[in-house]
Amino acid sequence: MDLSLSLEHVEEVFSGCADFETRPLHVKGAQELGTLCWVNGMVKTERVNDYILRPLAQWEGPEEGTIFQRILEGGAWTMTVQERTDMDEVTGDLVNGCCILFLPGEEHALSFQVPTEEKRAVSAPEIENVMKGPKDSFTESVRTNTSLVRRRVRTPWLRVEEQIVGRQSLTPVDVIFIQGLTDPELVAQIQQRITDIDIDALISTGNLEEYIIDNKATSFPQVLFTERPDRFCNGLMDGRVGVLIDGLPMGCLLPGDIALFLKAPQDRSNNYAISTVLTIIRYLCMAITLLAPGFYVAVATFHPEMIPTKLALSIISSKQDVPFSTIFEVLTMLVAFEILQEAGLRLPKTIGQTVSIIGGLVVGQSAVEAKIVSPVVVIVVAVAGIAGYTMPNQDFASALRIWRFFITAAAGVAGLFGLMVCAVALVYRLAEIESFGVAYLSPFAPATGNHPRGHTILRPPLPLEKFRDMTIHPRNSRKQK
Amino acid sequence: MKRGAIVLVGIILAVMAVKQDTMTFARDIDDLELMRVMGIDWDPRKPESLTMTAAGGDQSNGKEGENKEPVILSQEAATLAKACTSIQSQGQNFIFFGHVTQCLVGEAAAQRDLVELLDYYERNLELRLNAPLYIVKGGRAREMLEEGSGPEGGTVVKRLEAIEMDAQFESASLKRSVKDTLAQLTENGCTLVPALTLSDSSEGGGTSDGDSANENTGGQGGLQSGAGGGQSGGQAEAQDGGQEGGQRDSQEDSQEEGGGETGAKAIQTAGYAVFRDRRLTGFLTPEETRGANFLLDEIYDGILELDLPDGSRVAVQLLDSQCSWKPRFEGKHLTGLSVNLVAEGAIGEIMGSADPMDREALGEMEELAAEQIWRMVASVLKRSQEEETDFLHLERKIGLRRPDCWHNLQREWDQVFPELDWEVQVIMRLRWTYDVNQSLGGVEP
Repeated sequence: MDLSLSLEHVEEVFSGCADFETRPLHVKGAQELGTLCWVNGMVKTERVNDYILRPLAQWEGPEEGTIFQRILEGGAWTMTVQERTDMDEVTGDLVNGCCILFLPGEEHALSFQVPTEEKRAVSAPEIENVMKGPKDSFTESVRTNTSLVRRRVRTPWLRVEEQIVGRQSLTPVDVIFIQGLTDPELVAQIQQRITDIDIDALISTGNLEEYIIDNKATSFPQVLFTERPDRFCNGLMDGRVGVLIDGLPMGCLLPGDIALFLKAPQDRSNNYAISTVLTIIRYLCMAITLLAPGFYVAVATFHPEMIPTKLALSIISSKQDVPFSTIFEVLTMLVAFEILQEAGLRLPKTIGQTVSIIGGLVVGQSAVEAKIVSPVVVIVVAVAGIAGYTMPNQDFASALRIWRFFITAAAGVAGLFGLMVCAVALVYRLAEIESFGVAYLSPFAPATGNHPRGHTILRPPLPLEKFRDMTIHPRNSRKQK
Repeated sequence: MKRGAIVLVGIILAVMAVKQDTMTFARDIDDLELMRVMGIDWDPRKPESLTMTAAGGDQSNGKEGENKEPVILSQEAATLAKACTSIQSQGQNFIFFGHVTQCLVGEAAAQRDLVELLDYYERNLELRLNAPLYIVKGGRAREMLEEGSGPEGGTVVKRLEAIEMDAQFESASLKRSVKDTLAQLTENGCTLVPALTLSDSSEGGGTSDGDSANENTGGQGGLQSGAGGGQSGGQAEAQDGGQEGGQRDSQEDSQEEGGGETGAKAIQTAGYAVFRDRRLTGFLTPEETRGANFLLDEIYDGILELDLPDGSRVAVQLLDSQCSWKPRFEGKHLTGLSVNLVAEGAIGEIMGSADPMDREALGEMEELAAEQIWRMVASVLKRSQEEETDFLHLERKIGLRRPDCWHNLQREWDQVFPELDWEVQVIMRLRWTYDVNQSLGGVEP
């Protein structure tokens, strides 16, 4: 702002705002009254009363120096008192829950940090649930989130560097990393990209994600958003960089690769054998959700000799009198599945589950009985859908759902050949993607020739997992003796 | 530009996906009529054409319960390819041969060059080379498909599937796929192919097993052996039962026997058809069939019935058999062949007073079983020599044992084989008696 710092200018900036308030303030020993400003709802009234108004009115400390000096050096009982010299700082403090004190005759103002604590309490995660593991999740307050992180990673080398993003929203964004472990080039790259964001407001995750990722033309996520502090801290300990955004109850881990998106939060809580089996199942489910509908279309249309005879007869029997072609049936059911899923998200929780179940049962059953679709198609699409739900990351699962349509269409055009061409195209596309210099298909396709370490599919017992994954270039490769 | 091209390709693919008739080889599965068995016939009176008969199961078009009658279609043409194409006009849906799991060849057709006959099988992408191949003894494939599919007996498809699964339990017939047959015929023109026959179900015709040692088959003449008869080479460790090798069956007699009868017909196994120079030359008798199975290590089950001197009859269940070959050479010239056969069995049933716990009685049973096996093996070896038909592929077996003599063997085989001096040793071991009549510790029950 071009305005000089003064009470009048502050009032001018906040003119018409119903939540902006001022009051005269008597400071003991002062000849004239000061003026206290604040934004209602952002400050905690009790703190203002007890930590600012009372001590200033009842000042009993030494009386050397100016009143301004005395207050700055401990006259008020708030933890933080800062001297402000320009309008930007003052207006920023006001919207961030500070009180500003203007004293007559003083060019500068005092800022007292008395923010309200009206924020959501730390609760259990809603999406990333685990049976064995912590039950806390990030909240909308970035400071609460950093405290959750610090409780798990208590090393003093944990760095929390803050930037303000958004000209209007002025959203604090914290970049978190472990100095001496995380690749400093990676940190610098991320910080620079955040700095380069020049937008009005950072309100949703996309406002950050879509501005800092390398490849914007893909549906696959390149950063991992998680609501679990333990998963966030695991990522930091692996050498990744974390980003916390004020107002969003999610932490962001960078860089993201395919192995990261297919690891579940509880992989390290379960027994290593169970974890390995579940990971293998997850990879299989990824293949199933992508390929099952297309495979069915291919074999039923182009390669019926591949189907065992009894199954073929059963499919023929179930498809009798269905007027639509196989490809049309499958695509229609896939679209219906997506509609049901989307509707389930919008419905209130109290009725959403009931409507989803009834809708699925009634619509599915009726459609089969009316010979609109065949039961086999319902089964294939359901299996593919359920397999997709095993993906630990919803963004990744959504990207797979999109590609499922492409693969199914390709199978409908050219059978298994078309399916394989589309699958190869997908792999090619994924191989093209890099996330902050790390190949997306890491560690399956390391670009540097380094042998991957750490677990991807087969998890050894944790005492044997001595090294970090070097594809993200951590400074310290060893994580235990 | 690149993005536009990608979008354009995507649109084209999407349109083509919906408009399926642009893809001529795309066909929805419910538009198919699945054929399960293919039969090939040839009539010497019409030498220029073949008859192809295709049969589906009772669910060939998927309508369970609606159409109990199996679909059987037949088409005559100069080539199989033409017949398979022309037959499309007969079905309600597209006739699909990708699920043909059985192939039948009529006896007359088998007397042609089988490799030439099955050339279409080799080249066609739909037909399965691993489909079992059968020769219809004494009849035509079309008749077997039509008459063997009576509702009381179930469909011909189910019967053939049952034969494929269960024939080995009677050691009456082993599986021989089209691929195996063609491979062996290409090697030396000789092979054995399982045979089937259509008989009156009340008679339970065809081959029988187990008690085949002294049983004559139907006494039907016809196809003659290729070489002179008489005993060749060697020899006896046990007595030769005096069986003449090879009772031949005739096509005409079989047709007379099978044709014109009313009532359900049953498809039965009928031993093996013998091929020489790629053509059918005859059929093995039941005893020879069993002997061939022993020599080919294809014994999985089966019964030997033994008549003991004390009047008891014992049924021995065959468990396993291992055959080893040892050629005898003088220098690089083959002079003889030793066949060692070790069979294992268990006592399945005793009718009489024979006591399997008696070592002497057990030994007697083993000897009798070994003699019976020896007769079977000897009969098939003799048959092979008499007809100069190496359907056991001994040349290859010996060549693999002595690759250093392979070239000599190839040069001399035709002269050596009919005069080859062979020696068969059979050892029978009865592993289990399953005798539970005696209590433990010798206490009387």
